[in-house]
Amino acid sequence: MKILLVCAAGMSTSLVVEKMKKAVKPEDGEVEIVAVPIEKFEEVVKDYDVVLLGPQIRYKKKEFEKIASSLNIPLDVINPTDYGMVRGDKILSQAINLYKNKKGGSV
Amino acid sequence: MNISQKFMKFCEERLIPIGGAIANQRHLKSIRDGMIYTIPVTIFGGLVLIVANPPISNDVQATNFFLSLMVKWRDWATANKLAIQLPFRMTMGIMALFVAINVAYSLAKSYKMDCLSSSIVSAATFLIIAAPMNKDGLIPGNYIDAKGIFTAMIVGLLTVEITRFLKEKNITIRMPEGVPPAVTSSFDALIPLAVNVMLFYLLSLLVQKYSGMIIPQAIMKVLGPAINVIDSGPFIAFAAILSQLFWFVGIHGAAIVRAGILAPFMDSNIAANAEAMLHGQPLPHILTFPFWAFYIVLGGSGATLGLTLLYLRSRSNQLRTLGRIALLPGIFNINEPIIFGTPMVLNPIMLIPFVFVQAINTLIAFYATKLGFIRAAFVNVPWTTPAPIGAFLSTLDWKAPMLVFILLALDMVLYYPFFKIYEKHLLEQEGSE
Repeated sequence: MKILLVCAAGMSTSLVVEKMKKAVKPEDGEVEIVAVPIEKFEEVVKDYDVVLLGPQIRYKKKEFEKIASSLNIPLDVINPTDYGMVRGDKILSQAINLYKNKKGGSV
Repeated sequence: MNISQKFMKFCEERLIPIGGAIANQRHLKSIRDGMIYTIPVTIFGGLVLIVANPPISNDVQATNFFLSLMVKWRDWATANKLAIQLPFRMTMGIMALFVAINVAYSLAKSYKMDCLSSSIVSAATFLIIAAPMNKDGLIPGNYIDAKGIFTAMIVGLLTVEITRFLKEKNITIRMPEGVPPAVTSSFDALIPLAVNVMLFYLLSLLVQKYSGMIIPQAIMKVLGPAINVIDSGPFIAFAAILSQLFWFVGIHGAAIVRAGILAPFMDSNIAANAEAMLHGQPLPHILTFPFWAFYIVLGGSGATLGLTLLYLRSRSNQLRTLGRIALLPGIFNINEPIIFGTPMVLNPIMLIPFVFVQAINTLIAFYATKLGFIRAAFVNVPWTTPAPIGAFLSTLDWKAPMLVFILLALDMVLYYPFFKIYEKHLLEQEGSE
């Protein structure tokens, strides 16, 4: 599974990426997690299975959701408290659930 | 519904759409994206200026080893001034040309038009109005530097829009049937180039005839008052407050207010300061990106580095843990952990300091610079540089990091009472669990 995180400059989400990587368990399979700034979203989104936005750019949700859903990629905003406390495990499970739900729904 | 819920509802319904509208407006976005490509140019230009201007005054004598090195550097820089400056002059010194290229590129990209052709049209058009070549083949450089940046933005946007208009109205060269498509498409770029260049050339001739000024000169004259208003203490403080109101509802205020509205002025200002530095003149502007990054949002939006230090010694487990998580990122001016972990977002106890502390930083730093205690910034330094280092490198003034530490201490004092109230509130919660 490939997870894309997006925030304004890709800086604060990169903190989250490190914590998420540490939270990956063997049963999750191979997980790739990358953080990018807003400007890169359109360019790279097609290569990912699930997208999470930093809560500070939720004003972009509508616009990005349109692009992501046309590619059938699920997208959501990270829970603000988990984001603030940099809880990698919680955010990882948010991504995994988002991915699983989507998969269940579309099959 | 109580007042705070009403306020939240108002924010969700009004502020977020405004933020989205500013962040997504196509032309503003093209300017912003285009300016991002000039960052390496301004940072490199700044580095050259540092080499050319050693941070040591002319009357200092070589009394110890360190000073003798500095004096050697100073003497070498003075003796080779022009040669050292050339890499600056050919990068940041012609920055407006890059702006014309980049803005057109970004706007063309957003319309899915041919980006490279659009950049060429924009560059040619910009040069004909801003730097008409003389009979000896020399191109004057005095309006393709900082003074031409706004003109370059306008040209970048207008040339692409004109090209798009021509395409939509299907104004193009029609080839007889049987001509290979590759040949036809090579003519496609001709009409936009010819129309744009000739149109602006004509306009330029008219402006010169009736005002005696070339277009960039006229534009700077018109924009002058606006640039001065924006580069003032009260306006920057207002922008800082507005930015924090967005953050208070949890959206990236700096991405909207700073990057969305102030950035073109900051970029033009720092380029003008760099030019002034090059020519040994007083620096004309105060509002630059380093000014924002290292004094106003000291440690991240809301000027929270001081608060982070308070958290480290907090009696509340949550705040102490958060302080440890947030300290390192905070030193590099990244503070989302503080904003969403405290949380500052929609936190009525923290509202006042979170929104107003950075406005106080703004006013102090602005007038300290204005009154000449601190030199203004003329080197663009990445905003993730720790503030004292960033403040020094961007100004080459030893007093700038001092100001950062004074502001940091002040921010701690200003946040302290609110921190204490919030800590008490959390301790009650933690105790009851």
